[in-house]
Amino acid sequence: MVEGDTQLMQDQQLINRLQAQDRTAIGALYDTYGGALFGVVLRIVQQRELAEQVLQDTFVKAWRNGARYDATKGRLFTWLLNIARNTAIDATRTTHFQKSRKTDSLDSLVYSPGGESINPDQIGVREVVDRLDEKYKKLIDLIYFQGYTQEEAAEETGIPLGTIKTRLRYAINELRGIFVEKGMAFN
Amino acid sequence: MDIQSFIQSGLLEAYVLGQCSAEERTQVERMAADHVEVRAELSSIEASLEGYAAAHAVQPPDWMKTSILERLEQEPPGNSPPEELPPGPGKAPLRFFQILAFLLAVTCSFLFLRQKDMGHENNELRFRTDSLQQKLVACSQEVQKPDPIAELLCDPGTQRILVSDGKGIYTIIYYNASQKKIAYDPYSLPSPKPGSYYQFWAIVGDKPVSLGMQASNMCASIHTVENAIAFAISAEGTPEGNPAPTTVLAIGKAG
Repeated sequence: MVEGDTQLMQDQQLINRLQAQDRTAIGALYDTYGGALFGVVLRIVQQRELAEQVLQDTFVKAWRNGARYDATKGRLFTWLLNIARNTAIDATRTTHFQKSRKTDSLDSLVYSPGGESINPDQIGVREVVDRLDEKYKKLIDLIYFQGYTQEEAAEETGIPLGTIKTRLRYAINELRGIFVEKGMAFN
Repeated sequence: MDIQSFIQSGLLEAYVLGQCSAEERTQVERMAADHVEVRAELSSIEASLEGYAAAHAVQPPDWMKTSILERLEQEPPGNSPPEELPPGPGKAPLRFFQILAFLLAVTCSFLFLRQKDMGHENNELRFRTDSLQQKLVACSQEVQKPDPIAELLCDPGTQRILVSDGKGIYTIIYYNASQKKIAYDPYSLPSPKPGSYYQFWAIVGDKPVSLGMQASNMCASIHTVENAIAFAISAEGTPEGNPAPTTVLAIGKAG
């Protein structure tokens, strides 16, 4: 795992290269964030082939829109994640997707050949975040990964909207606490 | 609202998750710009969620990176067409602006193309107007020119001679002896037989003098001779005619 300051410096260098229209920046961006984004996209579209297409589109869009990224408004990964999530959600709305909605199981998506969890470092992180209470994980998955609005998440889980908001804040705080405790602070 | 309350309101989490309205987003960004604590909190929330995403990372297939880089080769230099992406977190208002931007782009393109088309149309119309004006001037000059046929027909000394084969009239020849001219309408003649051509003759004394072949213009005015006592039309086997008439078809006496 890259520690916080180093990560931010790396991000800044990537942004500079991206905005200087250096195509190799996308390769570096992919190396850094491709796996995390693919994990998110897989959870949204739940079809491996479509997820691969979405991930490619995500990086092409990042290339086209690099100049519009504003570091004062959010981290590079958050920006990329928004692109990936919106592209994935759009893909699930296509007629083709609706017609062929035969989803693969999450296990087969994540653990099929070439789809192992990303590396030993991240397996360590996975163990850490797995300590998070299941109800918080589910909430973060719905909203952060799958792009549900808080209202949609309330409807999906049958939990009142006010509780969703409180839980979400609590879940993120817990997560932060876990990372800090394990010396894995990302910021 | 004090800073701590703002931080604890849940709005920052919603901002990072792209769940804010445009108004809330502006508020968060303004607070982040003004207060270092808000910036730090935002960054911490983002970092925690980023860590969570990293923990659930899935290795894409090996060919993926090459495929993306190959696709980029087909792309124009980056950062060119503004697309559907946010400058920072945010989703719902983004769609509104995407649609607005798209509609604006379509409208502008339409107006631009229309203006371009109208420019072409305008140029074409100007060209056609110029061309018509030139023709009008030419016609006007033509009209102002003295018309030799009209002059001939209006001359009191012009005779009207019916050229006939004894059964019907072939044509009418207008003959003015002092101007030494005749005029007739070549299209009033019956069509000649295939391979046959009409030749016109003036009869002076007892000799035929050729006036040439049937004219092709609407109303012919051709030179002739003084003292013609008659005019005749013959059928000839060649388009150039002959020194003497081969078969006289019709004749009309002058005077």
